[in-house]
Amino acid sequence: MEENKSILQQFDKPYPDMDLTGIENAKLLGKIGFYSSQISGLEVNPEHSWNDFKGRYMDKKVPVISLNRRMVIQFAAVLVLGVFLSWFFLLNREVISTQIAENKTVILPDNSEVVLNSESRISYKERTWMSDRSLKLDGEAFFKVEKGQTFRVKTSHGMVQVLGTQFNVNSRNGFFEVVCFEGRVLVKSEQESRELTAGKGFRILDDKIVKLPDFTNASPDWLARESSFVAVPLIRVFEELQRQYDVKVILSESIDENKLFSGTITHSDLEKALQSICLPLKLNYQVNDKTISISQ
Amino acid sequence: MDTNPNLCEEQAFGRFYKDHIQSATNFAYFKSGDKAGSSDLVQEAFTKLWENCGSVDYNKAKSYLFTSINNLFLNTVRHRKVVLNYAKTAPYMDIDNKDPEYVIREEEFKAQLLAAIEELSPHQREVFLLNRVEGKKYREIAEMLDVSVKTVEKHMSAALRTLKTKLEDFKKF
Repeated sequence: MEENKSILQQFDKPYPDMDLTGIENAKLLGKIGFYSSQISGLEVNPEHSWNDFKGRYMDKKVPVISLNRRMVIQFAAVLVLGVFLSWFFLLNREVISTQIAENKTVILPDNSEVVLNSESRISYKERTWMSDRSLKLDGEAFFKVEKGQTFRVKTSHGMVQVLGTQFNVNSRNGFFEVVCFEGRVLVKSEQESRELTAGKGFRILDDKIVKLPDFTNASPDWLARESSFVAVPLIRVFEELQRQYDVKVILSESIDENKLFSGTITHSDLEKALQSICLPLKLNYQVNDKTISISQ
Repeated sequence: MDTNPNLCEEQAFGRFYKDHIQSATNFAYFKSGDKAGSSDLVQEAFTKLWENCGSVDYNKAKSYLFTSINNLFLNTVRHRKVVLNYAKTAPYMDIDNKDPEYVIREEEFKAQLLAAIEELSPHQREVFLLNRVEGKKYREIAEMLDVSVKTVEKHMSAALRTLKTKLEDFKKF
C-alpha cells in the first residue's frame, strides 16, 4: 500500500528527492507521463454518432418498462378489466400514434403491417379484427396488407379499400393522397371513386383532384427517412419538415405558399433538407434554435 | 421530487448519449486496443441501456454504461491484439532540442512506451490512459467503473511500476 502511494505521489506531484536515484526516477516517470498523454483516443462526432445510433437501433425497439412500474400498471389493468369487462369487449379500440420525428411499425392481428409516419394515428378494434379489417387513419401510413377479407382504411377525406396489397395513405388537413405499390386499391372519396393499380397515385388537394405521375418505387421514400414531393404546395412541404424535425417554420409574407415544389428532403440532416427546398426555389433560410425563418 | 431526466424519452437519452459517447468510445478503445471492435461494443452497450431505460436509475446510468462495456468486452474482444497510436502532432518533451540524436532517442522511448502500454493488463491500461489521455481524475474513473478510488490507485500504480521497470534503460538520459 505504502509503495502504491509513493509512486503515485512521485507521478502526480513530483517532489525534489535528495538522492540521485530519486531524481532519475521522477524524471523517468515525468517522461512516461508526458508521452503517454499524447496517445490518441478514438475521435467521435457525438451528433453524427447519435443520428446513426437512432436510425439503427432505436426505431425498431420499444423500451421496456421497469418492473415496478410494470407491476403497478398490471395491477391497474386488472382492476379496469374487471369493472369494464363488457364495455371492453364491445368497444375497445387499439390506438397507436406517433409524435414529431417518430416512425412506428405496427403488426395487426392478421399479420398485416402498418408503418406510421410522424404525427400520425391509427385506431382499430383488435377483438373483431379478423372479421372486420377496418381501421381509422389520421396522418400518413404505409400498408402491407395480408391477403384475406376486404381491408378498409377510413380517413376524414375518404376511404381506401383493398384485398391484399401495399399502399401508402396520407390524409392531413385538406390533403389526401393514396399511392399503390402492389396489387389494387379502391379509393372512395366524396368526389370520386377510383381504382388504383401498382405504380399509380391519387391526390385531392383542397377539394380538387390532382393527377399524379406514375412511379416505380417499391415503397414510399419516408420509410428510407426521406420525404418526396411531386408538385406539392410549399406550405405542405414545410408542414412535413416541421413534423420530421420538431421545428417551427415562419414564412415571410412575400412568399407564395402555394408555389409548387418537387423534390426530396432527408429526415436526418436539417441543414440539407432546408437546402433541398430553398435552393431550387431561390429562397433564403435562417435557423434560430428551433425556429426557421424563410425569406425571398 | 423526481427531477432527473427520463432516459426512456428519446430527447433525454440523446443528450445522455452525446454527453458520454466520446469517453465511452475511448474507454472501450483503451481497454481493447481495437478500433472497430470498440465502437461496436459501445453501440451495443447503449442499446442495452435504451432497452433497460426504465429500470436504470438516471444517476447510475453512467456506471451502468461503462460496466456494460466492461462486461461486453470480457465476452467478446478480449483475445485480440492491442494496437495504440500517438496523436499525429505530438511534440517532443524538449521542444527546442533539434539534436538528431535526441530525436532518435525520444522516438525509441516513445515506441517502447507504447509497446509497454499495449502489454499492460486491460484494467491497468484503461485506468492509466483514461487518466493520461482523457485527463480523468482517479475519483472520476472510480465513479465511472463503480469501484473504489483505492482500486483505481492500485491499477494506476501497478501500471506505473510496470512501465518504469520496462523503461529502466532510459533513466540515464
